[in-house]
Amino acid sequence: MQNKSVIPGRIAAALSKFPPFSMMSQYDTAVLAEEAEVLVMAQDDFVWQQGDAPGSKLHFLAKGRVEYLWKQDGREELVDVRDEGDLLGLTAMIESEPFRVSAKVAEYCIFYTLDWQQLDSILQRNDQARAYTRRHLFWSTRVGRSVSLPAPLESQKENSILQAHLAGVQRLRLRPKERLLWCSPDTAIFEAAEEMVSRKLPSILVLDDDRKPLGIVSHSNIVRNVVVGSISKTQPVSDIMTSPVVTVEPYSNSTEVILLMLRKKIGQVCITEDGTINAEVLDVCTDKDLLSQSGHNPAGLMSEIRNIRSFKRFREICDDVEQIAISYLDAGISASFLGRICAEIYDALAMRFTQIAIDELKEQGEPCPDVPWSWISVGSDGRREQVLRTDMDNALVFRSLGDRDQDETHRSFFLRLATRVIDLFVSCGFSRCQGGVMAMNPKWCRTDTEWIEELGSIEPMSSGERVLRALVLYDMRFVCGDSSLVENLRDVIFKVVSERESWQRVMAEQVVETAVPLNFFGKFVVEKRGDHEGRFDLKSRGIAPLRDAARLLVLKHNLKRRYSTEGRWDDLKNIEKYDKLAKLAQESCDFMLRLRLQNGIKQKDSGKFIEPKELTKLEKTQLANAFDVVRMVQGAIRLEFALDLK
Amino acid sequence: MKFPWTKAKSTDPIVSEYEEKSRLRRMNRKAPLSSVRFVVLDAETSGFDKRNDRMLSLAAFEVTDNRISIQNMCSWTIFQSNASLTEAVKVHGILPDETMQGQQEYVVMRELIPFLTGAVVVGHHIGFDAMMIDMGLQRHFGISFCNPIVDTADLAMRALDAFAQTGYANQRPPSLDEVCSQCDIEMWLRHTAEGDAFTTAELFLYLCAKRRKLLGKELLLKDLPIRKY
Repeated sequence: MQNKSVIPGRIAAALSKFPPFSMMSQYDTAVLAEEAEVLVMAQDDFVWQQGDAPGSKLHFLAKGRVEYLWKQDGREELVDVRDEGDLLGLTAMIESEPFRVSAKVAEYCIFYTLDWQQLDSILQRNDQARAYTRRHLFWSTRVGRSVSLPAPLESQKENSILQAHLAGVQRLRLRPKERLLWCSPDTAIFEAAEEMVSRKLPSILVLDDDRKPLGIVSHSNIVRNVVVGSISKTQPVSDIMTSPVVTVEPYSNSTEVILLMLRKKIGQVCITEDGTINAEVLDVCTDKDLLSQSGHNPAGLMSEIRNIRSFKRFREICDDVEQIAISYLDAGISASFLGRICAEIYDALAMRFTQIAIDELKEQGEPCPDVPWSWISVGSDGRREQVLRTDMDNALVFRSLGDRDQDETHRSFFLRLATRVIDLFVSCGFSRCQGGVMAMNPKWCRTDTEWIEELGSIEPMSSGERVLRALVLYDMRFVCGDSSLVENLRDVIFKVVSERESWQRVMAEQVVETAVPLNFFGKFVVEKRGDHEGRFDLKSRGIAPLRDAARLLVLKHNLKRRYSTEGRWDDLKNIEKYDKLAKLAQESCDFMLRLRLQNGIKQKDSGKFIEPKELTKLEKTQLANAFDVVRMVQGAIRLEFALDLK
Repeated sequence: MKFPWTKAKSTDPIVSEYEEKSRLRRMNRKAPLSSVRFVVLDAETSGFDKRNDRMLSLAAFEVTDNRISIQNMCSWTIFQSNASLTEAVKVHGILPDETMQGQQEYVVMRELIPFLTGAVVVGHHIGFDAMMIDMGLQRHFGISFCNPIVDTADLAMRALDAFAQTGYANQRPPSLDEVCSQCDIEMWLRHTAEGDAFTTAELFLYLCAKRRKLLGKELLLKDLPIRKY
């Protein structure tokens, strides 16, 4: 017998399209496929009956549809549907208990039966796949028992900035060979030194006849041995060179090379053909070369923002930020963390732009009035959740002098200032806020007394627009200017909200009102008509309730420290009764933000609307979990604000 | 009985066991399908002439308890000395070179015999494959193919309305492609012995399930269009 691998290979390929098999190695899936059996069933057959003991095999549904029926009190209910790519029987197998539902074939099915022991041992070795199956388990056992808490998602946070860097940064570039400065081992030290001085290079390579590296002579070698030490400068360089040379491969990752230099405490590495010292030298790379190559990172951009003058360059930097954000996102960085990085950069931009605008106005004969003022971010910008340049939300506050006319003159100045700043932002590719939440709008450019009056006058009976405005304001964050003004306003916000229970209830109702787009069977509910037919609104149905709940709870519990939704949930973990919930909410929130971002990048818009069809099976499961968490949060809010008692 | 034109029967013990256990009369026609061992097979040949053409590759899957076992599958590429570029090569794409790499027909037949022993052989247009195997068995072992056979084309005509017997004189049994597209079965690696055998095995299970629904009871062996070769 020969050539046995074709059909098992096809089965393995079919398996590995779906999680958890997609997370396993090819070898593992091949082993599973070898032992597989193929089973065909027609409509109305039962794969198993409720109460059956699980055998030793799992069923992978390669084709068709299976319905889970739950018999209780003589009634039969359809509780779930499984389709192509689902793994059946996992729950019963893991818990080794009888099947809780009957599995009935709804459309003719092809199953691959897999050996549970084999799969189990593979899962034990593969963390990611195990984490998936555990979550899958949580998701599939909603039937017939209370929803249990899923195991924490371990995978995503492991990716650090460093990894993103390693994945995304440039490779070492090679320069023409003629540029390489080198000498033979018997060259006199002073000759080599002369070469170094004339070429303004910090080191010289010592090569043998085959251009293989023997050693390297740097400034410090000469200083140590010739200037301080007793070696004569007419002796050959081989007496003082550092040997062997640290070598790397061509096109190595520049971040890795920097780390190597740090570890070895050296200032240059030698690039050879195959990365060993037994091959021909191609180039020498110094730490300075690397530094000039590594501008493409947030820290580099930040320092650049403080120094540049050309407006065109601002635009380029913003494009860069977005590129970096995308590459970080691909590397699996948490969306909230990414939001914080981007917020830092956009804040630096705002700071720089206000300075530019003040200087410009001064040149035009309009000096900045001598009152404290502050540029603030509100809304999503305030929560540091803005990664893409979709929208800007900002406002301005300045100290009132108590004199109406004086305040109006000041306002007109600050409006002009804001207009200029926002023009600069727009020229960098930001879009103007659709709702007019911008400091150039007189409604959002006010004195501190005006703001305080507005914040203090909020009532449950206020109009929808005012409520919305209040919520946007509650996320305010100081950007530049005088921070004490903003702190003052924030104090007012926390005081006002914590005093007015009826107003808290209005906010709580808003959280609870949103229906989660999951139906009883755990399938996504999509828009039935309109422009977004067939999709659902991730922002308003998933992210918004979590965001509003977090805001409400921190206001109630007076947790001022953090601004982002994720950070707020993190703080809420310290309140005992929200301990677990806050952790789940934090994860879910992060997952949904990520999904929205990725979607936004793909669709080139805000990413609000998601098409369930385009999600992978893994994403669907995670999203369904996230929505479950939203429901749990809504339940907690209902309880906390006694909404059911009304 | 020995005639000058027949070859001497091989004395290999597997041959006698095969002849003893595989005949239709040895089988219990009232056995439920789940207890019967089926072998689904498909052969690619150099042409349709039973005397001059030869098998080039052969694949067989075991079906027991309504399951196709991947582990117990067999497939062979067969060495044929006089392989040439015929029209059939265009269909199955087995080039003379590959044939040269194959195993001797004798070796393949010897491995096949125990696999077939006691099994009901299933295939699409199985009569032809059985004939080619029969020729091979006669050449090398002096015995004929004696397993009962089930043709999935016949089964399809009984199980699926779309292919039901119409009484129309020129009605021909449906091809594998026709039945599979009717049943929405994905065909892997069409026109390779392995792929076709696997597809046929899936089809066989599907048709059995259909027929079970049609008759409204557990199938027995006699409910299939089983016949002698």
